Amino acid sequence: MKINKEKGEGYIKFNISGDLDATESINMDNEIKKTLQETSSQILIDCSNLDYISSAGLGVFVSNIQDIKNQNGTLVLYALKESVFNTFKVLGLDKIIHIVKNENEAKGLLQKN
Amino acid sequence: MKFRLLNSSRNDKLILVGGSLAYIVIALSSAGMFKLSSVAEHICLVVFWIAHFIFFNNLMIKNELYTVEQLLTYVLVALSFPTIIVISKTTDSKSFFALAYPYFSSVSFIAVMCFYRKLIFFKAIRITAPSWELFIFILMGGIIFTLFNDVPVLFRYANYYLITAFVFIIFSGSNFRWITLLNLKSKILAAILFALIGLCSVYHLYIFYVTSEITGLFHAIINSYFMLVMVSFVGIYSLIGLLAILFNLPISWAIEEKTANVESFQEINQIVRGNFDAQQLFEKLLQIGMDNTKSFAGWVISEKKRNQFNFYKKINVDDETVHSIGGIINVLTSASKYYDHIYVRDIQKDDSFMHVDEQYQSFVFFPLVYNKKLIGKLFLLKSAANSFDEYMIRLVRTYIEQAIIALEHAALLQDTLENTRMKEELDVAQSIQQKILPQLLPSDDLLEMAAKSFPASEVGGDYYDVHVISKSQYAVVMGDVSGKGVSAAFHMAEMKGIFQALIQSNVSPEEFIAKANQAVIKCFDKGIFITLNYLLIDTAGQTIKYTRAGHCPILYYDSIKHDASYLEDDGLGLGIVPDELFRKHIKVYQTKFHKGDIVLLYTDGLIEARVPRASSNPKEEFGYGRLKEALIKYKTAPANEIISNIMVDYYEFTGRNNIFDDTSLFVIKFK
Repeated sequence: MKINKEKGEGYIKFNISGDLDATESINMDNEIKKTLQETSSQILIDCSNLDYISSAGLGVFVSNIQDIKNQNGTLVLYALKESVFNTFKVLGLDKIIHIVKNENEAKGLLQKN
Repeated sequence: MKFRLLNSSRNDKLILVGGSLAYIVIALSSAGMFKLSSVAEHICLVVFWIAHFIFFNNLMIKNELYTVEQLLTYVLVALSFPTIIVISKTTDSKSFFALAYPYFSSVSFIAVMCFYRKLIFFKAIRITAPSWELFIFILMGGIIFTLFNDVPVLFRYANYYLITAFVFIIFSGSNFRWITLLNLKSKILAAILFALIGLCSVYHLYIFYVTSEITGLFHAIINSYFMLVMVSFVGIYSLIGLLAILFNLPISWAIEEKTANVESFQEINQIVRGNFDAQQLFEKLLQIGMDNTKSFAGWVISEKKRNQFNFYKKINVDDETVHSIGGIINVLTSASKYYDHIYVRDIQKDDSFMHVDEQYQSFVFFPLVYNKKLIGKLFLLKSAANSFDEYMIRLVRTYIEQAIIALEHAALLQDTLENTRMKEELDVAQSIQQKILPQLLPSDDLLEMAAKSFPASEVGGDYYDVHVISKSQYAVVMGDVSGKGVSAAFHMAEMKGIFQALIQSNVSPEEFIAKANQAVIKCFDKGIFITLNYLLIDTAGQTIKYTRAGHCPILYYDSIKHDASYLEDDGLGLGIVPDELFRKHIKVYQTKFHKGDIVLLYTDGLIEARVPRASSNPKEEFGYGRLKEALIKYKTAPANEIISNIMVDYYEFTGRNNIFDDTSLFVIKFK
C-alpha cells in the first residue's frame, strides 16, 4: 500500500491506495498523528484507490477521531469504493466520520468549519 | 611408555620364564660352572628361542603392541653388545658380554620380527597369513641344523634351505601398506627406526663372519641358521621399508596438506556445532588462515556494532600497523557494497602504506561477510613481497565461506528451535481459547443451536456466547475484536469477562451494549473496538429482540416468505465513541419468529474472504449475496450441518484450505 501526503491550503490531503491492513495501519496511524501534531487538523483522505480496509485499518480512524475533534479539526474521507464504504457503514462509522462522494464536497465540509 | 609385560597371560609368563631358564642353564654351562652335553645345550637353546618367539608372537597378536620407543630400546641393546665385543676384540668366550650377547640379540630380533609381523598383517590379503606361516615354518626349520649339528649330511642341503628361506623372506615380507597411514612426523621417525634396525641387522650379519674366533655359546648362536634367517628377514624388511618410506615422503607433503585442510574444516564445524561462540570462530579463522598461508603475522577484528560482540585479536603485529593498514582498508570497503579480498603484493612499494614497518612486505585482507553484511575482517601478513599465491588465497576464502555457512546453519537452527517453541505455546493458547467459547449449546423442542469458530492463525478475536436466562429465554452474543492474532485473542478473552458479567446481571439489551461500550472504552486501547450482535430470544412469546453494535447484519431466513434477508439496522461499534454519544446510536429492534425460521450470525471474515490473487478477479469477495444463497440452499439441514456446508462453499470459493481472516458462524434454527 502507498500513502501520499499532499499539502493544500489550510488542509492536508492523503491519497491512500491498495490494502489498509494490520501492518499498514501502523504507518497510517503514525502519519495522521504526525500531521495532527505538526501541521494541521484539517485532514482529507482520498480513498479512490483504497481497495480494502481491515478492522485494524478502521481502528486508525477510530483512535484519532476524538483527538481531531478535540483540536476542532475535521476528518473527511471521500471517493470510497462501495465495498470499503460498506465496511465503514456496518461499523456505524459513517455516522461519526464525514464520508462524502468527491473532493469538492470534502473541501466544502472544511470551509464550513 | 608402558611396558605391557605384566599384561600378558599367565601361560605366556611361564613360557618366558622357561625360555629364560633354558638360557641361564646354557650360559652357566658355557661359563664352566658345570658341563652339559652338546645335545642338551642345543636343546636348551632351541627351547629358549621357541619360548621367546611364542611369547612375543602372542604379545603382538593380542594387540599389546610395543611402542616405537620400546622397539628402539631393543635395537640399541642389540646393537650395543656386539659393539662392545668388537671394540674390546675379546676372544674370551666366557666373558659376560660374550655370554649375554646371544641372549639380547636373539630376544631383540625375535621381538622386532614379531613387531614386523604386525605391520605385514596390516590390511592383510588372503595370501598374507599362509605365506607368513610358511616363512615361520621355514625359520623354525633352521632349528634342525642347530639340533643336529653333528650330522654333516644335513649341511649339504643348507644352501637349498637358505635359498628357500630368502625367497620367503622377500615373498612374505612385501607388505608396506601401513606407510600411507603415517603422517609426516611418524614417517620420518619410522625411517630413522628402520635405518637403525637395518643397520643393526647388517652389523649382526657382519659379526657372524668377523668374530668367528669366539667359540662356545656365542659361536653356536651366531652360526645358527635360525638366527641367520631371522636377522636377514629383519634386515631386508627394514631396508626395503626404509626405501618405501623415502619414496613415499614427497607424496606425504601433499597428503599432509589435504589432511590438514579437512581437519581445519572439521574444527570450524565443531566450533559452530557446539556452544556457538563467534569470538572462537574468528580466532580459529585467524589461526587457520595463518597456518595455511604460512603467514607470520595477522589479525582479525569484528565490525563495531551497538550491543554486539566486539572482538579483536592480533598475532605478531602492533596496534600501529593494524591502524594504518586497517584504516586504508576501511576506506576501500566502505566505498563499495561488494566485498572481495584485497591482496597487496608489496607493501613497501605501495604509496598508500608508507608508514608500515619494513618487516611486513605483503598482506591479504579477507572480508567476513554474513547475510550481505560485513561482520569482520581478517588480515594475513608476510615478511616477503609477492609471497601469497592464488591457491593460498582461494583456500582461505574457502575456509571463510565454510565458517559463514556454519554460522548460517547455527542461526537457522536457533530460529527453528525458537519457532518450534513459539508454535508449541500458540498451540496451548489455541486450546485455551477454544475453551473460552461455549462447548455445549442449548437445544430444546423449540430451537436448535450450533456454532463454530475458525481462527486465521492459531488464535483469533472472534467470540460468541449463550446465556440461558430462563426456560424460554436465551441471550446470544456474536462479537469480533478488531485486529487479529495474539493481540485480538487477549482482547477476546477480556470481552468474555465483560459480557459474562453483564449477562448475569440480566439487564435490558440497551443497557447491555451501553455498559459494554463503557467497559471497552475503559479497558482497551484507543483504536481497538468491538462489534457485536446481541439477541434476546423468547421462545414462549416467539419474539427476538436484537441490537447491532457495528457487527455484520443478522441473516434471517423467513420460512413463510421462503426467503432470507439481512436485518440491516443502524448501530455503532463498541469502543469508538464515549457513553453519552454512544447511547444516541443504540437501537433495539424486535421481530416475531415462526417455526422453520433460521437466524445466522457470523463475522466479517466470512464475507470478506477473497479468491486467490492469481485468479481472474482477485478482489472478489465471498460477499453477502453468496452467504444468503447458501443459507437458502441449506435451510433444511440441521444447524451444525448448515455451518459445515457453508464452510464447504467458503473453501470452494477461496480455492484454498486456509482461513483468510478469523471466521465464526452461529446458527439458531426454530422448530
